[in-house]
Amino acid sequence: MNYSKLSGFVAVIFGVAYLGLTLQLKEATLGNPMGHKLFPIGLASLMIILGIMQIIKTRKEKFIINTDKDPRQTFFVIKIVVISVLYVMLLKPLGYVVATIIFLQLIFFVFNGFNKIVRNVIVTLVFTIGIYYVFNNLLGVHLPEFNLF
Amino acid sequence: MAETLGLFLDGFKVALTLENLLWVTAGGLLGTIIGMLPGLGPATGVAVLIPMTFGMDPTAALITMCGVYYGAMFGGSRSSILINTPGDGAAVAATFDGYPMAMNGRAESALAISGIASFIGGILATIAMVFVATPVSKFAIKFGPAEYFMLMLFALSATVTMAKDNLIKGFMSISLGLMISTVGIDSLTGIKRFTFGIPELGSGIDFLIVIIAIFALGEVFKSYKHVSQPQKKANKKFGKIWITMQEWKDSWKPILRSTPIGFFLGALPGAGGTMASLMSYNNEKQLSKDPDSFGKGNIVGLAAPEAANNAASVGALIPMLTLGIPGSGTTAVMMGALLMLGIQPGPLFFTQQADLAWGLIASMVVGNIILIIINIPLAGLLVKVLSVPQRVLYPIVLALTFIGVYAIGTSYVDLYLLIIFGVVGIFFSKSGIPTPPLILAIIVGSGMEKNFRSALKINDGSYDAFFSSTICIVLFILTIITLLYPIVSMILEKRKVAKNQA
Repeated sequence: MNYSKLSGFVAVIFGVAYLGLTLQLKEATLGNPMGHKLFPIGLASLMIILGIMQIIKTRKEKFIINTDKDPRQTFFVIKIVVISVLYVMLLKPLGYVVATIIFLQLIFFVFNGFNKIVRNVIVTLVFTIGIYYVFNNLLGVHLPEFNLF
Repeated sequence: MAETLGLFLDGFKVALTLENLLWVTAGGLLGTIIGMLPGLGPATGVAVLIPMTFGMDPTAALITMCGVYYGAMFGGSRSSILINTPGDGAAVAATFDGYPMAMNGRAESALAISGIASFIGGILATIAMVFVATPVSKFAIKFGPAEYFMLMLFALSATVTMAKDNLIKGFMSISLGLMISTVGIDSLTGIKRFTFGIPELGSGIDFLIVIIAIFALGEVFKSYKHVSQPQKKANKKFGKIWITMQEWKDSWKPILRSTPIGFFLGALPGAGGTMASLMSYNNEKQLSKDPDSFGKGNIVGLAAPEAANNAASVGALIPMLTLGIPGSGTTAVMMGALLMLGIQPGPLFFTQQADLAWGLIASMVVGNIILIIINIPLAGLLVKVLSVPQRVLYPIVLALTFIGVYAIGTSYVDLYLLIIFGVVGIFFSKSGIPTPPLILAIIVGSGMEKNFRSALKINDGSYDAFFSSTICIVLFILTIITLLYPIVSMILEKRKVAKNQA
């Protein structure tokens, strides 16, 4: 995938969407009725212009290019993103300690596979409980508690 | 001037309490560990470790962050020298001669000179800063909204062009950053903008989240290439870590020459440590009687960039502290840490919060000294960190980003934003869009819009406001020059190539 070429199209789409949202904003009752729209309109125009410039600049490039990069790298990123979303979803019902232990075990699996499982379990437990202690007792930041029942 | 020095010395009293010394040491050690990881430098170190300062008073928090900052810089050069893996761009130049030195059995000298050169560069630059900071602040107090707007415009465009980024992509990065800063309730009219009905977005998107997403999460995403290869092993047995008299004679002049280069480039928006270290390296190579020895383990080739890099890190704090405009990704993160502590850098910082300002500068000196103490005698011990598997450290950094972001706002929405911006960071890196302009734009964004609207209001809506004073016109011309410079230099380059081919 030619991301450089793609970026031009993404910029135009994003700029147009942002412009649309800006124009739909309510008029201000205080001060200049258009005041809060001027700056965003300028930004949207800039983004659209830049996107068009990028499209023109890369017009001769192909969209699908053979990147010799390891496809496993893309999967690696996707796996981390999915596990992260899962973590955030579990954090509220399961609380910090349980959710983090699950999260770290999954992430360690992505990084290490079936190697050194004992080490990974020990690191997970020490880190999770250590951080819980530091935040709750030393820093006074309360991490989410177990909340399922 | 006597008054300035007095304030500076008072700052030391604050910095040198036992508690603060412990914090700066702890920060320095943790920063060193993070800095040693490939891809992670001072910006990430500060971003990930900000939650460490929760519950501290501002002075202790500041000094801890200074420890992290310097620790990460030292850590970056450690791994450059020993395993040829720079932590961030600014540590790249340290691999040119540092790694060959370590390979030739001179790891001890390399570690020592990198520490000594960094120390001298950092201290001299800090002394220079003591003299520059107050006059710059006094000058900046005269700035009105129009001047500030033009200054921010200049700083943003200079960030793109100085870093030699692709102009279109650099400005895309800026536009997105400024757009992100418009999310939330507009402070002048009370109207909600781009909140999509999510109440948590009313207060806007905290730029710390974006910073942590791009610098920490993004680097973990990119870590595949580091963890998929076998980890490079460093020699862990050292003799006495020190330099010989001859090595000192060779390096002291290059250190003194490189410090001002670093300081000056650091203070310019967008230039920063990477450019400073590379420029001083090339400078010494040109001055050298034996340029061929560079890249093969010449101690000068390590001393010069290390001094310049550290001097640049201090110089970069000048625009951040005196104008409230950070000039690099790393200082932007530092500014984020300050803002979170309720400290607003800007022209009034040195007059209204003088004790804190000078406490910060004194902390930097103390941080520098402590880091030297940790790094030279304990280098052997610290290097053991390099043998901790990266497959363990990256997952921990990942978990820390989530816990850190949660701690900042105790909001689940922030955690989703973290993931979204982590993905944006990956898209940026794949398409070659630079990220520092995005970070700078998010930080200056709301101030930029406020100044833009105030300037218009004062001038009854007329855009003449932005050309009404000499300062504005000078800044406008500077902005135009920064925009035209890359185009002109590209045309000149093409002509040169064409001539050579003819």
